Amino acid sequence: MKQKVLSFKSVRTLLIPLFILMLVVAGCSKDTSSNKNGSGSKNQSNQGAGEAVKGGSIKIDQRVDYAHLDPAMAYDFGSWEVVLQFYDQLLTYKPDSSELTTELADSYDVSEDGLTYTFKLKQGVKFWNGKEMKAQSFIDQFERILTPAVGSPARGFIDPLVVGSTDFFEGKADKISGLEAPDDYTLVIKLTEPRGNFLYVMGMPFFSPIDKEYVDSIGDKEFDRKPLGTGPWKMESYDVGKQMVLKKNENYFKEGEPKLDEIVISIESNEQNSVLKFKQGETAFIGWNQEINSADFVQLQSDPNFKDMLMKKELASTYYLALNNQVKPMDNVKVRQAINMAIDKEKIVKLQNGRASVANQILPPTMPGYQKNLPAEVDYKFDKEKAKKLLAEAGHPDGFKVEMLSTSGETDQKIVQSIQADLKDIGIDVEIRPLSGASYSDGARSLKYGLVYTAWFQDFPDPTNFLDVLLNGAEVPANNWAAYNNSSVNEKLNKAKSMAFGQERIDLYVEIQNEILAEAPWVPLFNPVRYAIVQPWLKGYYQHPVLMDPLHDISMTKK
Amino acid sequence: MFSYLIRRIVGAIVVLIGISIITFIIAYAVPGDPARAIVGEKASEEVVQQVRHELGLDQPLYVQYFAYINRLLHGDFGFSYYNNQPVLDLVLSRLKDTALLAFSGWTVEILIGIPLGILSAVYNRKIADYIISVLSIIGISLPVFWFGMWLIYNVAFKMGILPIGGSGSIMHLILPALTLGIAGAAYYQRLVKSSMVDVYNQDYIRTAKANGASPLRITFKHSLRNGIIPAVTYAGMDIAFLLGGVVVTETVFNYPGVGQLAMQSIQRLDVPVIMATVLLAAIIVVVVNIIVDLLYFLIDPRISLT
Repeated sequence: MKQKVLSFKSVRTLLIPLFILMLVVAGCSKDTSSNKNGSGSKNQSNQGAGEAVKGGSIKIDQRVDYAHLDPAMAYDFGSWEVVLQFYDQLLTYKPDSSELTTELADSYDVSEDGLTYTFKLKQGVKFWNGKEMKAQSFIDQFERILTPAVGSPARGFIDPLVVGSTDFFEGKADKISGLEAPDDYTLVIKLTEPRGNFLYVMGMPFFSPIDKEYVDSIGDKEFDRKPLGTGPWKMESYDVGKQMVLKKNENYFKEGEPKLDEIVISIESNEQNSVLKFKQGETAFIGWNQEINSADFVQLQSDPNFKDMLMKKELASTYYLALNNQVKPMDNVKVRQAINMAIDKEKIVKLQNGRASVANQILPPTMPGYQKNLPAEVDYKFDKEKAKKLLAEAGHPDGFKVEMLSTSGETDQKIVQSIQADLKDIGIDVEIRPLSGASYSDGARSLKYGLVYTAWFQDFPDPTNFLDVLLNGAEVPANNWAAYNNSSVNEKLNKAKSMAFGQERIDLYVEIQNEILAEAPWVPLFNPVRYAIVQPWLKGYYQHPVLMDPLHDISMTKK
Repeated sequence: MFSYLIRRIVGAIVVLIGISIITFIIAYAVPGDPARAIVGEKASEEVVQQVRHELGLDQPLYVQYFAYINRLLHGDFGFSYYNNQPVLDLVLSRLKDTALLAFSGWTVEILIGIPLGILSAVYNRKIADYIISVLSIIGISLPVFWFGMWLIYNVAFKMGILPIGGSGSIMHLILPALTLGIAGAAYYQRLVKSSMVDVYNQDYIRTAKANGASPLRITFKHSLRNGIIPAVTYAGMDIAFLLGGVVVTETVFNYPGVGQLAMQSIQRLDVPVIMATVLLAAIIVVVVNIIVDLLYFLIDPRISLT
């Protein structure tokens, strides 16, 4: 039955606006793809043209919520971005350099036997609450790191290395006997054995001075979100999951730092949104704080408005395929060498839009001990025919089946699929097992996968941080996922670890690396290249080779 | 009615216990070690063991479950494995934002869906009805994440009239609410239309017309009250739909609500937060469904609650 209940003249009056709205939204494109705050700097280093102005406020994004703000707990790039701003260490790195320099220490002395480190501290350095930093402030932090209830991941750096550390951790002593404060401005650290990289360890954020009274008054958990340090930036507010505001520490001991007055950090988990905000001129830079996703990177690189704002830095990191030396047939060195020769690393670099460089050794190019010209016998060039021949010599002319553990990220999957296709060409049938987060690392530590696609980023610029941590037999299965255990290599690694800095030590690491490469426990794949994008009105930004974004050093050329 | 209410509450408690057990088992069945997730990839195995012990993760699963429920009954939701925050604070601080977003999304659904439903019933099988139907199909078919990204790019970035994600003002709420509400609006439109068309065919409407009632009076006074009952029924289920939608919407718009928190805590294997967000969502769905069942009774006294 037809019916007409209402007699509105026309429904068009209601529908037309709907259509108009849709058309307007789709078509009305006031072009904001060019930056509102500048037409694109030609200055490749993005140091910002024009004079810096004093103070000012900038906005940046941060990929995820901060996991930890307690320096004893923070051990990820995200947290270090701000923890390094809240806290200072005895030593730090020079701007844009891997060279150590003093920070809270005025000077230091290492005894001839390499067992005693004496640090003379700067006087008059104050925590944000006005209390003075003293030698005891460091001892208090060492004790926190060795307190089981705190659960600090830094324990391994000082226990059992520092005299008395194990006894303190096990509750057998109420003081760490190897730490002394003969006066308020002298800190003495005694080691059980010489350790060449100890100064680098002291530059890590874990070993920052803390105000014990403050920590005790609020408890360890609360301290993890209410920091109090000596650093250039104070935490003004932190709305978890939304925003953190940093305010300049007016009493900072380094004159003229920080240069800005305020930094507003939005937690932005959507990478694409971050790029749009940068393009609108809302945020000052995308550095360590956020990723630039693949699609946006390609677009930015070819966009005349933005391509000159990009900066790049080769990271001290190696992505590699760990070949499990305990799983058959990877226990055969010829099989491992064949896999090394079968993988097309140039293709993997292309898959990342060039944001990487091909790796042929364990140490990344920025690390002492890296060899520009690797000896030919350990430099496995891409050669599928030779790979097939080696596989046949190893008794596997028709290949074999193997499982490969990988992370589940989009780019990671593209890379492992490329490896899968390459290995298929020499007859090796790879089954990819993607896992994420803790499931992935648990899988790797189970040592049940023949191949593990993984990466390592340096903690500090010393070869021990790669060779010793990743390939010493003592690190199976914690970090040594290739289950590589060679007694000669272990012995040399332990020797090198105790040696004083110098060419002799570096030469030993070169020797060790070549000995390892000859046995091919890894396929070194690539060294990542990190891109940052920086507004032309930001001055002083650089990609530090060890530390995170230089928030204390940047300023603006406009307000 | 009182005994009905008691029965429903007891049923709800059983459902919540069931959900807590299932979530707990699933969260622990997933491979991966929360203790490792807490101390980070590079921490030594000894430190991981130590943290595992501190958190009681080395206890049998049923012991962990009862300990968890015991703490829950004392109002202790525990601490986030990821950032050491008290879980209750973390969830409650985001609940306000999610409630605001869900309510805004629901408002979009109602404000667009019901008037269009009435219009298409009034102009049943006319050009207006066909146009609304096409729009409705588009609305239902749009993937939430795609529509959200489309709005961000075109409205927030290109036109620059609204912020790109985030929260803090009514301007931040407009695009997420539209994204969340558009599919629901289409659903309400179809529901109200079919129900209203049914009502128009009833004898009492014919009688009203014969008595000379105006078309407006017939639609709003006589038809709407009956025609809207299915929409009220749907409102109950809609809460579950909206809670599902906020997870995607909040992620796309980086809106700091419970949905985004749930998504992040699943990625981080942050079991205490996963448990809290799932239980919270379950409680909301169960409570709202009870309220909606009671509302039927108020809207239509013919429905008996026995």
